[in-house]
Amino acid sequence: MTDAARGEQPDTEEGTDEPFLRVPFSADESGRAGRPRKRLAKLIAAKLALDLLLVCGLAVYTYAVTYRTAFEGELEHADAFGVSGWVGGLEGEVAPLELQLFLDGHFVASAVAGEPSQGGRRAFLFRFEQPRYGKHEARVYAVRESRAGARRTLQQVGGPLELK
Amino acid sequence: MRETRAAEDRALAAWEIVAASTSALAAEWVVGTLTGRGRLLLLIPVTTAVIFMLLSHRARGESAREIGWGLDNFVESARLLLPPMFVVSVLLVGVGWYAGTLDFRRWEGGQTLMGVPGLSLIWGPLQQYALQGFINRRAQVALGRGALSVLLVALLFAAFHLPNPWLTFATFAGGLLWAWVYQRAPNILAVGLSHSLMTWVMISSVPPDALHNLRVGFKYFG
Repeated sequence: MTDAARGEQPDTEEGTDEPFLRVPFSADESGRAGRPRKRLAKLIAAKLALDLLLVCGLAVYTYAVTYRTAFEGELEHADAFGVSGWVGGLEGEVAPLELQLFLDGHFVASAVAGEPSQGGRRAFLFRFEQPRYGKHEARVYAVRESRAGARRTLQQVGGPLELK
Repeated sequence: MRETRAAEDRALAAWEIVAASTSALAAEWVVGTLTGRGRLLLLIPVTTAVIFMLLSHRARGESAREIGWGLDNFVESARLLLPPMFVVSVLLVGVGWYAGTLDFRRWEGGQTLMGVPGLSLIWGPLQQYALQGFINRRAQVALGRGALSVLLVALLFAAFHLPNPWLTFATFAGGLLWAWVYQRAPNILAVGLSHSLMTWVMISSVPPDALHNLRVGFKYFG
């Protein structure tokens, strides 16, 4: 069967022994075929653009809700007996504010930051049960909850500090 | 001129496959990952895919009957499907019986037997509509009827089930059969029911640990 004959058939599954598929555009050499082609091309472009928007929108939303920097602060002192510094919320007060101390990449302790001062800064202090002599690197992270506690992320407070 | 238009048609059909597939991949690898429990957002890629496929059918002048929604070709399709389904079912049940994991009441970790037909009867035909009624038809426009388009459909179906190894293998094998049968006797209900039945047999026979709760996409790691 030629393409032209195939294109004239109203229902390709009727009156044939073997079902085959309609290929409407190729079957029509006239100018009418151009219009659905363009419509289909626009449809594909719109669909792919919507998918892109969805993925980008979700990425931005996730960043804003989960990963955006929410705290400022600094490690002011670190020695063999403890680590201290301050932390403040960039998005208003978060109470209580949980902090976690890591030494050389390993979790050591968690604590709650103190009450905020007038500038919104909260002091924190981690005391070691046993003195930590030698070369160690301390990092303190603030725990940030999002989506009503469904997600908890750690955000580093200031930079790392070596124990003196 | 005619060759140029034929090439354009093939390219358009290929892009239609891409546009439909991105929804499934976005749902599995992005939406489910970033929204956590907010499963309602999954409706966005699903809805856009369904609307896209419906508009595409309209643009190409395809009727529901042509696509295979109806009883045309049902008997012929079932005739082609039943022998391989029987062989695979016997093998799966045999393996399940031998391994002691055979349980026909098992369905996604705890639903009752009564819940199985309802879920299966809807989910199987819906998946097969997207896979055969849309992707297979476009694959035939792009690559022609036969081994290449059948292989493309099966590969895409398997890719939608990555990285779950058992499901990827099973859907590749099932995809080959269903795509081959659809090209000979297009009927969505027959391949959809076959999909539902084989899913039930597989879940009832294969050890649950191997199927990893049927999880696919990024959720597989969670």
